[in-house]
Amino acid sequence: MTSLLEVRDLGKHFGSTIALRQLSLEVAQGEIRALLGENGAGKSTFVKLLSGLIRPDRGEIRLEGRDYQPTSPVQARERSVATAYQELSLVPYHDVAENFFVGGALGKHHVYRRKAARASTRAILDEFGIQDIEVGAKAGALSLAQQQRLEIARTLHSRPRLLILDEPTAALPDPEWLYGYVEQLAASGTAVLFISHRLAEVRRLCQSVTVLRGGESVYTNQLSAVTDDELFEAMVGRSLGRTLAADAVSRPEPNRAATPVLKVKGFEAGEARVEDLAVAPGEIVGIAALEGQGQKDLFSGIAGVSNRHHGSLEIAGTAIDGRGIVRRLKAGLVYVPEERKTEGILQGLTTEANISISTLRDVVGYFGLVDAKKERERVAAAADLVDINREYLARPIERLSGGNQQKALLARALMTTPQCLLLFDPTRGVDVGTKETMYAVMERFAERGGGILFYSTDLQELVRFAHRVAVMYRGHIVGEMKGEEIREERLVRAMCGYAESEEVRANVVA
Amino acid sequence: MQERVAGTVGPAPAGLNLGGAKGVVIAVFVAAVVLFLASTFISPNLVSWSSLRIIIILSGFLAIAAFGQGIVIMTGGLDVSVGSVITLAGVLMAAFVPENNVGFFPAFIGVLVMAGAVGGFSGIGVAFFRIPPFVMTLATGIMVQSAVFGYTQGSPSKSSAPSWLADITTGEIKRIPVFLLVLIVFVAAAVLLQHYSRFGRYVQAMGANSNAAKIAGVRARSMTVLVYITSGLCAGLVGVLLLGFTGAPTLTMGEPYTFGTISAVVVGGSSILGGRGYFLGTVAGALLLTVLSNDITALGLGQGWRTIIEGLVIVGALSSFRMLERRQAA
Amino acid sequence: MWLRNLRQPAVVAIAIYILMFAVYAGFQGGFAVSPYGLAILANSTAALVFAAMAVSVVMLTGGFDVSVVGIIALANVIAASFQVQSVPGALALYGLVILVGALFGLVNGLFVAYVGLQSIAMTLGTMIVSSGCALLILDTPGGTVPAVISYGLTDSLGVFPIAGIAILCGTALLWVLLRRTTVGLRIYAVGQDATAARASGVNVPRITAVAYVLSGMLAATSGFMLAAQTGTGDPRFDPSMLLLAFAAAAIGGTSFSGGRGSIIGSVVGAGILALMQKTLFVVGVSSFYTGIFQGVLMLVAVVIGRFALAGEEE
Repeated sequence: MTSLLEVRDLGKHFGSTIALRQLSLEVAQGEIRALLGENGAGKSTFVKLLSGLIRPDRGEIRLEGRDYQPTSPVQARERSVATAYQELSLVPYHDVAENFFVGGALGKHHVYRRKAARASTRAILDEFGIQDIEVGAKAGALSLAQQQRLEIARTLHSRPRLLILDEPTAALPDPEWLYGYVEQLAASGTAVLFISHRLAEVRRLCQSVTVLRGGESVYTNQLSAVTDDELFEAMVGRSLGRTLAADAVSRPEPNRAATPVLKVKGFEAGEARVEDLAVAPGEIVGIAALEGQGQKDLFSGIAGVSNRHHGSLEIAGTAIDGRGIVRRLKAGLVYVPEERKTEGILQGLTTEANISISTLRDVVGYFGLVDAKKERERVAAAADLVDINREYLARPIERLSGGNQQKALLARALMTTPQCLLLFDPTRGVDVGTKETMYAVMERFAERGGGILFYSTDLQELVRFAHRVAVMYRGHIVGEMKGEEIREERLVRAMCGYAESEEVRANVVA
Repeated sequence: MQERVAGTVGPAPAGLNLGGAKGVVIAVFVAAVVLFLASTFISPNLVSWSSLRIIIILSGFLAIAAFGQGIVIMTGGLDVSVGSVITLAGVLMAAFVPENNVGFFPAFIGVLVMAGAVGGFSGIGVAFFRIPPFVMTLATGIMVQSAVFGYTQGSPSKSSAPSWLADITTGEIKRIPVFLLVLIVFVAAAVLLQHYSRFGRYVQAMGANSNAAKIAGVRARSMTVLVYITSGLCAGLVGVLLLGFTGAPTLTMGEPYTFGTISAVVVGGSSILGGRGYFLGTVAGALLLTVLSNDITALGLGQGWRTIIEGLVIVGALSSFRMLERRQAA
Repeated sequence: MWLRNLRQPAVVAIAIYILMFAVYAGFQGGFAVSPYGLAILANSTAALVFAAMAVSVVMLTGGFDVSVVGIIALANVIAASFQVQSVPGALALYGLVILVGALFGLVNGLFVAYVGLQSIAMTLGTMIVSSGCALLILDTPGGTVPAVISYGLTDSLGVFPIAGIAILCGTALLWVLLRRTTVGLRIYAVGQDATAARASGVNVPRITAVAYVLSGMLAATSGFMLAAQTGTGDPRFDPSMLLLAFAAAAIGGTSFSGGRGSIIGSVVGAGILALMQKTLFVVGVSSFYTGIFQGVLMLVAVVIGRFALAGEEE
């Protein structure tokens, strides 16, 4: 079997983040290859590179023996590469036919003839057995499952030579529908890259698997020759044999009888549906989840960043309804968001100004002017807490390393003397030394009676650190582990949807 | 979509730390001075004390109004009602004082309150109804202009401003314009407000990253309203001062200031994307533009060329700063 | 099913227009529906209609084009500067005007789509430059628009005002362009979700630039109609025209965040505003105060439009 796709030493970085290190792989004609990997392993970057959305820094790609360097999705299409994206490429206010037309699925035209376009679209839908969608329906009014099927139909219809499916079954209740068509395509020589975290589906459809980790391909084999555990190990990067819980710092159990610093009940925000979650004073609760399982919505809802949420929210006993970040701050909850660049740092301001921004009213003197001396003292104290070199305080914050920026954001949060810290992936993209510092700060905070709810993509961190870990999958909490129960392999399994109990599984699929 | 620029704004342990932007401010000042001196080639009269005096006064007016505009632009907005509010203030001031015999001070306060209220109205529309700032202030500006037309029935009061208002704006003490002192006080207060006050810090935060500012607890909506009120107040102040300078109000006295303030802010280095904001840069921009305008008039070029050049200057400044941003971000 | 269509902003706008017309006719009597009366109405509406269309096209991509009023002034002035006698000559003049508009639109488009300048900022600059150019050609209001244009476009073909025909043709053409061609559908797509559009294979910068070129051409047409209506050239740009153009788009249901809107809605919106102006005049409201009405109507339209559009989303 000849290689259809050859990738050699592909590299891509975004600013200081290295998304792809040295990715190499080969896929043969007619082969259906699964692509596995944790969050941040490089899967979506790889997909974007193959689809022509971004360009690599180095490395080469050969498609059917010829050099492949697409500068746009149009060029990818010309080389017969088609992608069904995880973030769908449909626009909401056009109807199905218009979407297909705009995307070029109906051929190259200049004029949109409605009747003809709708007929062609209908034909395509029929080709894939899609009966329940009207071609005149607005794409945004369709359910996620319907949109996903449209995305897939559109992609498969073009009969590409290289087919890329990025989490295509995430919203599909019945994935079998997809498999038949994919197998047909593969039989005609198309190479398929199937990205999914659902091992059951992967085994059903794919012949071989490549595991990505840290921007590289670390493992490739026939699926028939590898066990699930071996795959998990490859994804996580170490033998899961030993229980890392033994390494966990021994610390006092939090007082679960006291008023929780954070309590949500019947909480619905975006895709998140959390029935019951509480953080006791002194408790560190971790959330584990794959990308896009509702954790972002949960945190945004609790933090008050998004105002579309229902259900009860209590911070240190105070009921909070509606939006109001300031209200939450006053009640004792502070949020340190995920994206430093877009949600965290105030570019152009000094690090000192960044740290003091949430508590300015404490350093204001006469006439509403900031008492510079007081500010300097307080910020310096906060900076010492998180181990930021005082010299950095006068510099513009964007000149600091990612780790220092994160520490600054933590300092800012701590200055508000909160009772509950809400942290979203706080150690992502941060060097080891900074991680240790942050752990120490967080532990000290908990020791003093503060509660922490944090989401992390670093499983080791969760194992070592959290008193309790809740796993989120498809918006629900599908598993909770306490203390010694927390182990990486159990976490990974739960994250991939291997529910611990039937009851939970039923809830999730509903 | 928004890209912010690296360049420090905010207090450092010692005084103002402008960082990389210091260069821009100085460059613009130097350009203004050079241009002024070079105008001697157009006509020797242009480089004289009397010419300098006028330039200082006019650019001072522009700078004061541009402070408010600058604050608005820093938060990502735009205020195109500046001209109308200036006209409102000038016309009302003239109407209140000489004609209705209202005391100067109460009238002054009253006019400022009205100007601020207009700004507040715009601010509420932008903050609470999420009307795009350009659209909102355009509506407010036209409404205010229309109200002024109606109030004056097309002919504004012909009476002149109280004499000591004229003294403040046009008077001199030993050949130094009194107004220069007023201007220095204003600039000092403005810089203090922008860089050393809580209000200023919140505005900077919103300009730097409105998302992050909100998450950090900055009350975005109240701040937005305050920002537009500030712009209104500055415009109101300029209206009164302008009245003192020209002696009598006209129905279009504020017109050149709408785009003039935007130009001054942009040329002075404040990106119209919001974010950076250096009032000193704006002052320098106001100076440069006033000198430029003076030269253009002296050259006998009509309003047409003046407008074209102004437009080109805006686009040129924007593009260059945009190129600088891109190079820094890369 | 068609009941849902009744809630479309365009339909609501039409309903409002009919209502207003009833009020207007009430004051004007039979004159309002006479051919002459209709012609007067059409003439005073034409310029605003094309301005509203110009603004709407760019708004669909998520941007704001304020250079429209500058181009209008420039087009107006150009039309008043050449003495053409015949219809072909008038068409040639129109061609020139459109070319100028397209050029400014192209400059806007290139800087916004490729250099990445914010649309308000860039088009502000272009507006100033274009109105400066207008001042260069004609430094004070004056000049005469060729009779073939000013009489021709304000005349009637039997019962139908020619301006009205121009409005209908323009609207129809633009509607077809926006809803029945690849270019148009892509403009909508880019405004709704530029990332998804790009993933679908749309050349986002190019389509954006095209939108600005269209806007420039429509603005030029507006200026041409304005020249026909006033018969003279005016180099000054009119801020209230800008406000009205945006108001018309808002009334017509065009979203300020892009991706949604109906050209027919914008056109009817323009009609409503022009009619309002006439009605106010007829009722006896001093022209000094029209500005206030325009502003209020604008704000009300925007706020209502916001709620209406938000209601459509789940």
